[in-house]
Amino acid sequence: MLMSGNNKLNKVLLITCLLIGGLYACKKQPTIPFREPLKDITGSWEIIKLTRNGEDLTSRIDLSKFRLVFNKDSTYSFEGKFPFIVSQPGTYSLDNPQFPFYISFTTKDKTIRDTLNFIYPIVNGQRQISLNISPGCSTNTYNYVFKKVE
Amino acid sequence: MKKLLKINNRKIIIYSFLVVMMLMIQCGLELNGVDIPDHGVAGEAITFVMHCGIQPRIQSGNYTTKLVIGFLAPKSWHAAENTMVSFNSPIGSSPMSVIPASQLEPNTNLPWPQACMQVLGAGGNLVPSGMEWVVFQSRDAYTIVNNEDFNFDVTINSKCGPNNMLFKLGFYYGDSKESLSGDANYTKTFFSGCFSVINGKGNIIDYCHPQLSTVSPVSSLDNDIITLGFNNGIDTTVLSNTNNIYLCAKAFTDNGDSISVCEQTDRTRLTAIGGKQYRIDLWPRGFFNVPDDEKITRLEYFFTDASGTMKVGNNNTDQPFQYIFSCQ
Repeated sequence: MLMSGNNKLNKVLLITCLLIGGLYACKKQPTIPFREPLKDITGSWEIIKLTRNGEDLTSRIDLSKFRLVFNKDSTYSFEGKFPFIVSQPGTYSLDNPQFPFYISFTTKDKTIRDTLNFIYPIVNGQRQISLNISPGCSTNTYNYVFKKVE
Repeated sequence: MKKLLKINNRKIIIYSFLVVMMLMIQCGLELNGVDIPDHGVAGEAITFVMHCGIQPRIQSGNYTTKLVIGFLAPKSWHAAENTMVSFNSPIGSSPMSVIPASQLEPNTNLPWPQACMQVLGAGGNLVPSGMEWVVFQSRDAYTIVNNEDFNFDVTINSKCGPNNMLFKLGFYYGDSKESLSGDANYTKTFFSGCFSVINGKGNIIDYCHPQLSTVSPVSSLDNDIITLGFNNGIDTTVLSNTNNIYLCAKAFTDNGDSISVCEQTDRTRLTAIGGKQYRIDLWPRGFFNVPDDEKITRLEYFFTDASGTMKVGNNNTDQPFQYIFSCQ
């Protein structure tokens, strides 16, 4: 009988503790506002995949000597030569630094300005840039996938 | 007894389903032939007439659908812009419209031209990348009445491209409801024999017969990456007994200069891809190191052996292969 009274007391204590714990758990936590970081593409980028009209040319053509360089002052330049929408250095801009959908290239003499869809996926923990371009006939579409040079 | 009834019921359902399926299979489209002129003349209009039919054996409800017509033509024809398609049938007559790129073929989830290329192919043309499907649909949907068979004609008015060519035309007749489901009753195609376009410019671009050399993409500029192919198996040439084949090429620029690259090194060596076929991929502006203010307008080229003395040219002669850079 005495044991049964203790059990009841224990149960009441347990429920009380759980209620207090539960109430505490429900307490509003301070929220930290999330800000999408600005996309920083500065650096030297190499082509790691190239397709022409869907045909993979990556292993068929020497891509090793070409680099697309984005500088902090919003200028771009090239190391080596390769077909691209612009052949001269100039300035670049993203339409939205947080959520970019387009990238524009304007040559230094401002004679050529071209805008491309900008795809910036994370693959194996590394950012890549994927651009679809037509440097020759508009009927020929090339997909360049760039990876930042370490 | 109950079990026996159950089994019989199941059998009846299965047999009924099979009968319905068989009847439905009888419902279908027919392509009874295509009128094709003997040849086309470069830059001039040309008319094709498809003789179509339909035998509706619909088991449930009405069958409302749009007519879909595909036309396989060389890319240089720009058929989407230069082709008018119309049909004349007992249930309606109307011009048809090119299916917009945003309207995907529902079975493949691809734009219709790509879907047709994937499902129907390039009709035996040896350079599929030089051909394209252009696909049209009726502007209205039509309700097909069961057992009311009828025939009708589809007229395709197009304009031949500027080049002398030899290739195979393709025609597709289907409907929007089934689209390219793979059901042969709703997917009718007709591919022509070799069709020639005459009085055009340049050498004949031949997609019908294997060529000693091909250039891909067919239409390209000097800032494209091009692939020069060499088929060393279709004829006996001075290079028949060697696997070491090199490119010897001359580029002509828009200001009258010419730049020659004729050496037997790694950068000119063709890669064997099997079946006595070889290829070399190059970016012409870089390969010939063209000054920024000049453009390459055309190429002349040979294939040589490692010594550079044995050469194969156009039609297995000592005349060079020619390629004109153009987006036509």
